[in-house]
Amino acid sequence: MARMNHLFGMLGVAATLLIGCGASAPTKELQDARSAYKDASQGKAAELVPDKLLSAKQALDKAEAAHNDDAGSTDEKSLAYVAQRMAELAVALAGQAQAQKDVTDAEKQYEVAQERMRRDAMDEATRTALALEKVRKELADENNKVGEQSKRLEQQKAELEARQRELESEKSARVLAEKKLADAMKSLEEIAKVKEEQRGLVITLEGAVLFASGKTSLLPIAKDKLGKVAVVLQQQSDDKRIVVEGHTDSVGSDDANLKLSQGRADAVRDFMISQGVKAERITAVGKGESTPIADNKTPEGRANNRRVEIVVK
Amino acid sequence: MRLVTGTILVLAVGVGCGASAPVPATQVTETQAAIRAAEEVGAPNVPKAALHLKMAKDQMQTAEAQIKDEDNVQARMTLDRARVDAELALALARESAFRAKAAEALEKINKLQAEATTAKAPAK
Repeated sequence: MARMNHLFGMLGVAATLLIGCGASAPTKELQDARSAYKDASQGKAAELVPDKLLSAKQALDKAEAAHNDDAGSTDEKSLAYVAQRMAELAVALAGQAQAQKDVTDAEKQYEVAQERMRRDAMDEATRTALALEKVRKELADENNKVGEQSKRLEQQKAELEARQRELESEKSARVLAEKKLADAMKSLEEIAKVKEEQRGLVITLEGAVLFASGKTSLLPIAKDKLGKVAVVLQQQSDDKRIVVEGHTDSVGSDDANLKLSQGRADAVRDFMISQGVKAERITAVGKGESTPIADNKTPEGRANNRRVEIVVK
Repeated sequence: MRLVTGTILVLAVGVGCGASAPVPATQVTETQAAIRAAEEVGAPNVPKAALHLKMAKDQMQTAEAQIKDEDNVQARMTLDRARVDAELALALARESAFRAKAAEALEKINKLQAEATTAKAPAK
């Protein structure tokens, strides 16, 4: 056993001698300092606090120099102690710098996020406002449409009512006209014979009620009666022609009767024109005794033949 | 503390000879300032920083004793060590404070982003 110890002892000395002076084993302090510097140099100190890392390196170099000068000396130990702490200092300062950066970054991020939130809220508000505006406009348009429809309906209603009133007044006018005609016809039939013949509507008036015997001027009462006939004539459409025929009985010469009948026909025509019948519609012709309707041998027959016929063709 | 140190300095200067190096008066002042700074930053409350602060104070005491013994060479080296411990304590305390601030700021952001997410998906 003793021999083994001795052997190891000799090996230890040999080892020391082999390593040589100045290159002997570093103290724990130096080892710690080297290790601390290694850690510091591999971290963020190089990037964030390069000057502090350099100071730490310089301190380590001083310690190494002391070790080379006088390995294991208190100088080496003290300088290594300082070097280790300077390496740790660099690490702490880098940590602080990083944390400060993180704070700044975080504050920036916060601002960005807040801004985004603000923008989003504004966008939302704008969207809502636009949508609201759209709805309002649509409502307004709807209202307008409804208003216009209402107006149109009102207009149509007014037009319909006006038309109705027109029709009613036309109807009234027509009814009135028809009544007038009916009345006129009725009263006409009281004073004349009215007959629809092939040649047209024939209104026959007795000569005795119209003229004094042998005269061609109308009796006063004749004008009343003829007035009624005029009304009826005016009811007839404008394109109908009116012929006033004067007829006599066979008493007296043909010429005289012709002349008399013409004169009487003219008188009736003139009177009709004075009552408003258009001149171009109405003609007068004397037929004399040429067209009897009754037997001239009897007084009644002769009275019947003495007539005026108004033909509406 | 300062009074005591001042007295030591006067005595040391008074004695003069026997000291192979001058009294490290400036170093003493600077080291004491570094220790005070570390204390003010709150090093006592941060474990690792508190450790180095204690080491700084202990070595400060050792240095004062060495100055008293007129061992100024050793005193300088002790003061170097004390000062670097104080600076490390300061840096560690500051780092801790800034890390806390960064964590706070990150928390703030996370909260805001969580709010934004819930805002975008409103409850029906």
